[in-house]
Amino acid sequence: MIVLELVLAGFLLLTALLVALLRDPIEATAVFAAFSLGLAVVWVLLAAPDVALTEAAVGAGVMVILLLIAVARTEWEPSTVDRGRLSSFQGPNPRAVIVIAAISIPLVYTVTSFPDIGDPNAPAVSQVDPAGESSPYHHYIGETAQSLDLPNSVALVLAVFRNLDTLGEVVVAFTALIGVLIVLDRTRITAPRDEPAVEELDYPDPYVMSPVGTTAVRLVIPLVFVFGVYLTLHGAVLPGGGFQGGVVMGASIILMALVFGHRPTGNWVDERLLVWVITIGVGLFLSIAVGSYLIGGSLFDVEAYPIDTVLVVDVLEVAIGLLVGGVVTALVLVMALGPTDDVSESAEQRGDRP
Amino acid sequence: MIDLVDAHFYLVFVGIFAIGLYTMLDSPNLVKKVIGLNLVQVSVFLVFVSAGYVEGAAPPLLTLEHPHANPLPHAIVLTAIVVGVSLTAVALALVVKLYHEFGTIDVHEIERLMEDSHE
Repeated sequence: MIVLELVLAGFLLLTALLVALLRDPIEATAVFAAFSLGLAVVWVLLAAPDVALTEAAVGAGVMVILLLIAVARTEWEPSTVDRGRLSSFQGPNPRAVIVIAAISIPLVYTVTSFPDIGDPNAPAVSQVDPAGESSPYHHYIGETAQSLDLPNSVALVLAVFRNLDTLGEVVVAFTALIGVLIVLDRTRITAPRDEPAVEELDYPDPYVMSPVGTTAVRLVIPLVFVFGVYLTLHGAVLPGGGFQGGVVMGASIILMALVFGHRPTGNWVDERLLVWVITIGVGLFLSIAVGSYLIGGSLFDVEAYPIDTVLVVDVLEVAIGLLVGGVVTALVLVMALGPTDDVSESAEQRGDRP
Repeated sequence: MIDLVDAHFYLVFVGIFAIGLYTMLDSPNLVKKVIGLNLVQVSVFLVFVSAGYVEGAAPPLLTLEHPHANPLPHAIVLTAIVVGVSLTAVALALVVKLYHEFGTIDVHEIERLMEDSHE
């Protein structure tokens, strides 16, 4: 086990270093995807399957696709300083290295004074706190948790103990979509059918549909989507839940956009459906939060409902799944459309630049 | 000083944190700066989840035998990953918009163009 951990630690450091030194952003992005997959394995080793699922779906999936879209939408020419050196690696910058060393050395001292990883008496995982009371860890894993009959205690923390944090997170994801729409100056998630495609102006044939890709994607998409639904609905019992399920469901649509082109996919998904999915997700989440107050409990008191708590948690997971899936899909579709503007004009400006 | 092997994930954290910060400082390419930001973020997750691990722990499913890993950092990291992807999306949208305005994603070039337009 320790050998595997050390190999993975080495892999993470090596890939991170490659990301830093590779000059071409596409190469750096590809290595970053490998880094994320290595990290997902580390999460499994650290007994965090929920995090591993999210990392594999988000870090190695959605994040990389967003980065690739950004790279495809921009051009990268190394500045004059870098020209002349043909190597695909960037040499180290001595000033940056000094700054990093000044920050890293105190950090090394700090982390080496932490309790050992896995020490059962460390404050983070000790059953009793120094005052002799039972610790938060005990609360999340001990009798309180057992009495609720919710086997997955990550879902328990997300939906019951710390559900206001989850509410905050839901709001952040929702706000991010609005932020991207504002930055790119768009009022709609998918392009109107009559808007000329940027790709058609730049390249004669924007999408080369590979028969291998389309066949494989046709086979895989239904299975991926059903797996996402399964993850969402079993979040209370097994590792997984709304976040992972939502991202996996969104990923199946994104996969379609990658192979068949984002415009046809955007028109097929239909903006209204996407907006409704996101709105229902947020609405369901907020109504559960406020509903418990209206029926006499405190705000967001999941246990106040007269029905089984597991059922309420399942509804919360579905709400998170809808929201996260919708937001992730919308983010990729909007980013793929790019900023709205007269494209030919900006191309002219680019040509005029000395 | 504790045993280096026991703390290796904490040291990996320092390594990835430093590399991510270096990428953000050194690379003139805005997309690579965003990747560096992601590396820094991920390194912090590594500290959280490592701190919640117990030797020989099972995943935090109550149907499994004791000991369990602490579920609290897992829940925090879960939400943080989704917040991270939202943040990355906004950052990349800004990068794409900057490219749209200036025709480059090189910070030095953008600074130069901004100075030129002021004159």
